[in-house]
Amino acid sequence: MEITVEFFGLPRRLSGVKETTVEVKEGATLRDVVKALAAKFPSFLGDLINPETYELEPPYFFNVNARYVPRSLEYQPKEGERLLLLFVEAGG
Amino acid sequence: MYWGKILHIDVSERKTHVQYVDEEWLRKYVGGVCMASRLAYDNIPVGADPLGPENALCFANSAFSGTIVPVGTKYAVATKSPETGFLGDCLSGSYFAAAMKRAGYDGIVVKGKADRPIWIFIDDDAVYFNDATDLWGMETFPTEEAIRAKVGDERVRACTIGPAGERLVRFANLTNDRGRQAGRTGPGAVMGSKLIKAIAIRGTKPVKVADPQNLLAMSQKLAELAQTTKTEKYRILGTPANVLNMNRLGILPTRNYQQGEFEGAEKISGEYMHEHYTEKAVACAGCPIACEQVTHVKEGEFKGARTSVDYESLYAVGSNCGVDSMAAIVAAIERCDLYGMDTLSTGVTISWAMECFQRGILTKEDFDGLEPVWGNGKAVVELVRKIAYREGIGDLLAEGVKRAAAKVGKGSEHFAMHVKGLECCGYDARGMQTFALGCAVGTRGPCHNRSLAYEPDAKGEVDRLKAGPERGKLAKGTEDFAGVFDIMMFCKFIRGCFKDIWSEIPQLYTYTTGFAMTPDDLRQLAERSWNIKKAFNIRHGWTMKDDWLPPRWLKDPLPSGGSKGAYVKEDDLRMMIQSYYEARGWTPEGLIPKEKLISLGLDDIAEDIGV
Repeated sequence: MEITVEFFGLPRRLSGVKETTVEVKEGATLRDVVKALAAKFPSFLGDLINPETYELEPPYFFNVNARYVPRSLEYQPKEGERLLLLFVEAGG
Repeated sequence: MYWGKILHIDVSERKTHVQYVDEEWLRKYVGGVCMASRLAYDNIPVGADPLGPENALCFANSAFSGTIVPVGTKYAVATKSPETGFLGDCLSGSYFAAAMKRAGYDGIVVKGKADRPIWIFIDDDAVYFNDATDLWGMETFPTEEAIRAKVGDERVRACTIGPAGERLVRFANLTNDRGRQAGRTGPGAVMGSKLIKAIAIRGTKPVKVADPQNLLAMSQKLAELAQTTKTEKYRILGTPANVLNMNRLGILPTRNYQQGEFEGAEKISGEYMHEHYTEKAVACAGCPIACEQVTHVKEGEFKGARTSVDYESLYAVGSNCGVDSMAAIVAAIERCDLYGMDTLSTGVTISWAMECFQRGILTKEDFDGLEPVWGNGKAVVELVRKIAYREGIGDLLAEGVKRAAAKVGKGSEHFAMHVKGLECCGYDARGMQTFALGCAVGTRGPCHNRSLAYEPDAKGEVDRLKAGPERGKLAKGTEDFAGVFDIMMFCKFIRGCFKDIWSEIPQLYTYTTGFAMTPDDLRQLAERSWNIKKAFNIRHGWTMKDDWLPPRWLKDPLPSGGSKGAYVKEDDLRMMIQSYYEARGWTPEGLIPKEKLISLGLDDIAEDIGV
């Protein structure tokens, strides 16, 4: 199935695009999406994606449809869901 | 390190004295907002007019100022706010704090009112009261430069006001080091009311630390981490990186919070700014991050405008005024900086006026011929000037949105976006309900910097569009977390570089001061600080009705976007407020039990306001 991922901040800067689509199997998890993203954008490895664990580096996380934040990368996205790869921090 | 000295300055009498504070006092109040709030509690009498001589500006330094500890060279200033009538506690970074430390003071309390404009020069142990006739009327950055030129020493650092502070614009700020501001709640108006144009400091004393070797090792590690992904967003795009995120979540305040998404978001994004306007990134003293994005307008009607741009400033005069011209935004922020006005309050007050125009409550004649339709950046820039000089409608807007709406009436109170008199910040709380609670109960009003309650919302710890009884504990927890940074005076942008602030920050503190501190001490310190601030407010007339939200957030659902349909239900808000009071150990009326204050070592405050 095809999953659309919107990029904010670092992933947008590293990839040069606002969003992308990746192809994953039915029942795939967010970790599979992360691996697919790393394959498509190798520059993500290191700064954004841990190359050994394929965890996202803080403060980045996934949001589904601007509405829901999965607790872990074991979440299985559904066809048609839009994933946002972003961070939210303020202060100073 | 500490000097154990608080400098008191009475500008009415032109006298000074030094208050010596002992180790017990220093360990109890530590620095930053906790120390500043304690000084305010002790030095501002009940009933004091915020713009009267009895109000005090209470500066408190960081234990880390002037040391190698990264992002720890900041100061706090607390005063009775001319906007809220409650405690206004502000932070500002950079060299002014280091100069205060090197001059030999942990804090400075300024009271009274001068008989004519003056600037104060603290030259190590000496204090001079200088005539400021030639500086009065000058903008903020040139004032600091002029003072340096007068003294003839580049080491002199000054905290100044601009034309807005001189005219008692209620949200005037204090500016130091060319663009660092103690920005919110109007300390600049307080300084202006005292006819003080600037407080300049030359400090030449060495700053010593207790354990240089361990402090160096830990500081270096922290500085290295501050160069990784953990701070990337601040280093590359600065806080304007938030624009597109907030827009996508549907909480980017737009047209005076009428919407949560802005069709011009891409054009005012951090990415667009970086590509077209950013000149360089600069850092505060002792900061390895360098978040400050200095932008420059090179062409067009705002050609020449140059200033640093943060998210909060950007949304306030940008999306919230419907403005998608980055050039106009930079110009409006630059004007605010030079006039010495808080960009948030300025933008939110202007956006209220623009909505009044939209609804026919205010007309073109009221605006002296200006047509402040949404997106008219030129009108926004002109209104900034009018406010600073209290010219025409600027005189009304200089009072802030609460007072302006009360005067204009005609239903405009519904969309006067403030809590306790302080204008709202850059996150539409309807789409972040834990943060909505944080805004309602905040001691200085709605603030993303004091309450980090948006984090559990945004990071999915809770459903951000729904309320819940667990939010009180979450809001308290994020306040205490933020409080640690505001007491220790660490910039919050480094928070991701700590694995555990409760153990690591006490270590840094002990290496610096030689005073032992445990994680439990730090937790209690954060709680003590919040209770002092609340105690100040109670003493100055706070009641439960002050912990509430503007009508728009309670009545008007967000019309579209990622938070479509969200609003804060009044019953939910009451429930969350009760859960917050309970989490804080306060009474259902939000008052502080005597035992609570005594447990925090605040016995005298318990006698004053404890129940």
